[in-house]
Amino acid sequence: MAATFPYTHYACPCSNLTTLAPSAISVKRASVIPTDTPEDSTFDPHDPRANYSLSPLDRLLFCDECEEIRCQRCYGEEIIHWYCPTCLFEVPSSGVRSDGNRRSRSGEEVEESFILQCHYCDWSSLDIGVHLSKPTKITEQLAKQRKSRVSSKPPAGGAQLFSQDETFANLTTFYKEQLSETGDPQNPYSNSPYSSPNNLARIMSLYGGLSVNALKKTREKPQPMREARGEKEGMLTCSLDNKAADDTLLQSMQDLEWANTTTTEQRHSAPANNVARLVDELWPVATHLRTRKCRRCRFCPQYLSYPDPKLKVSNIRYKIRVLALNHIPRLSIRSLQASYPLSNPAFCIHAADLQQPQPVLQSHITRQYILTIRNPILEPIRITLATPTTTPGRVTSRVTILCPSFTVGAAGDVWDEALSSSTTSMATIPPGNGGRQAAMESLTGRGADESLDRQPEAGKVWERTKNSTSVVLEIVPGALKTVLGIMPKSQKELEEEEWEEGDDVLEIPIYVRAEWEVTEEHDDAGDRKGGKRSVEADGNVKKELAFWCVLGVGRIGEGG
Amino acid sequence: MASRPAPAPKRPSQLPASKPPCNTHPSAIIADKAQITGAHAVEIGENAVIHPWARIRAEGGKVSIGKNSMVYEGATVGTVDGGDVLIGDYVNIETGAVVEAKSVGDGSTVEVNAVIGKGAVLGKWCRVAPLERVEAGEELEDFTVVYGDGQRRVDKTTKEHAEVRELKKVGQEKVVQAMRTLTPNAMAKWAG
Repeated sequence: MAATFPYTHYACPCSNLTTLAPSAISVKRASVIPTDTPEDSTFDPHDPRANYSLSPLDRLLFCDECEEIRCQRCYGEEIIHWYCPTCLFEVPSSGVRSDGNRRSRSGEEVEESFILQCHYCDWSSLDIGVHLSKPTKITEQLAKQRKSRVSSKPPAGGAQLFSQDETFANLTTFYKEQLSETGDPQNPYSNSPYSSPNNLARIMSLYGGLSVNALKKTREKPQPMREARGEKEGMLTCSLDNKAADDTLLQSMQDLEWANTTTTEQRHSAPANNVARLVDELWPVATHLRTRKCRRCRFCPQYLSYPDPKLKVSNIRYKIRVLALNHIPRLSIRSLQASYPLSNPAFCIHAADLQQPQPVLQSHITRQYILTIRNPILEPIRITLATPTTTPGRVTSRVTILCPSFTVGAAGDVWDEALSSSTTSMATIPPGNGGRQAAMESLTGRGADESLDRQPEAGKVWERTKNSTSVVLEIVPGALKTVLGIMPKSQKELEEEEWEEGDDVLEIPIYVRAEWEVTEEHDDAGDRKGGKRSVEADGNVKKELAFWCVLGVGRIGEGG
Repeated sequence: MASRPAPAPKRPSQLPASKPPCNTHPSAIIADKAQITGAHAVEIGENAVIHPWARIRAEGGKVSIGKNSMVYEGATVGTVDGGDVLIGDYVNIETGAVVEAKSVGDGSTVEVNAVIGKGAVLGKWCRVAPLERVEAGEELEDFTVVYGDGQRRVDKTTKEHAEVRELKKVGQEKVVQAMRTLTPNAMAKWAG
């Protein structure tokens, strides 16, 4: 959970904690969910599983085809291209498949042959006796030399039939076979109901032939994937009997210095280096390529995030980037009684000022908060909010939304805002004021009335700007400890009262529903879906988006 | 072309109070802004290049620079009170380095901002990586590389392959030639 209060976390509709929405949201009463809905339709932020579906706004993407929020589990990542981290040279994917995901360029000339040399410490491949015949295709040349070297050397110790490299190759082949046998999902986007070509073949043979062989095959269940069982399949056995080899190794480790032994990092750099214990035994390994990835919705093959393929240094432009930030109404909460000055972090001079004092909430004392909904889309939306009367979890606090249903204006471009600024400023400044007071108010963003008592009223919106609306929430934090009872508590009851971390955090689950209309020409997603949609008489399409979100208000302090 | 204000001179005019007795080979190049100070003898070999702002302090003892060697900008060669400093042939003392060693063998390189303490002895074909330190009195064998965070290793490639040494010498000669064309010679100021 976020460390600083207040925060807002949004729940992705992927988990079953959030898909069961309240069946009816009453608009007339203040904010009460009908009490006959089952308990698990209310989102409980204290549920240990809730963590998996809540994310802050900056982690969420939005699929505009499915028109739903996508959290980290709902989008898949694919690699677009590979590049070398040092020279930013891009390797096309065909090159990666043939050469492997490592660099394969650049060498240095010695006479007519070439060597690899380090400019920093002057190590060169002559130290291991490797000459290259040409400066290109280095990986290939190195691999060939390695193979010939390894095969010419008799197997050390005699315990292993295959060398390290051969074992690795055997294991890779084995795993590939296992994968194709047990059936991996080929293409998540194909419309075939069969999960793998093997299954398809199996079922076809079921109906295709009635011979004994065909029937036998159908009775066999696909085996689950298994591990390697013998050395032919790539299993590496370690025997403790090999005393002679161990002794020589220990002796050489004693004779040479610490600096000549390999580090774990060096050993893990390549399969060829896994058994190298001394620096002399290491084999040169090309730089690992880095990747750029794109993200796709798991349910429809729509790109959610696609970085600009033209690779430049620190290129952060995106071809496609669909953020939840720009598509869902955003909630934020702040205290009505500004007990501490809310300073803009950009203007803080001292680092200490950045850490705003975290308010400690006191039990049983009513506090009022302002909940602001910001609308990022180009149409005005109608918002309906719902929250249970008492927060779920061990500590029950009472929450009341004074105005659960309202509209929020559309976000326009900067020009619209500038041109219509005169009208909005009129709305927030009390009429009849010109000159200095109006200027002060437009700077501080507050009306003059706020310093006087402006009471929050039920059913009325607190503040309205061009694309955001604020309403008031009344919160009464609950008590941390239960009142001492007369009856002695049984063991079970005592256990239930055990404190868990995070129980004192006051979190409010709110169900947000937004409704808006788009004109038919602008309804791209509807066009793509192609199905019927409810078209109003005047050519508008109704759209709706609903989700749970959790507002973190603060910690409840002792002394309630 | 944009006009730039003339750079303010960083130091007062160049002639030191005591110009040491310099024995420079006629083919050496010494820049005008180089600083050679001290009372002891200074010997500069054939084809050597002393870059601008290099400092040669012959105050603690004599300083001798070998053939085809270079002392780059901001480098300091020589001790204040520690004795002679002998730089061999084909040696590069790079920018900002401080060399107070007793001797630096042929073919060695002291890289940027490295520090060699008083009385140290560097063998032939050594290499001290940037920002490394060699402590006072320390002796480095031939072909030692000082790198990393004080680590030492033996440069097998140069040690075992004569052709690599030849190539390095040829490389150094080429670099010296290039630097000679770039550095205007003010040897007249220092000679004699």
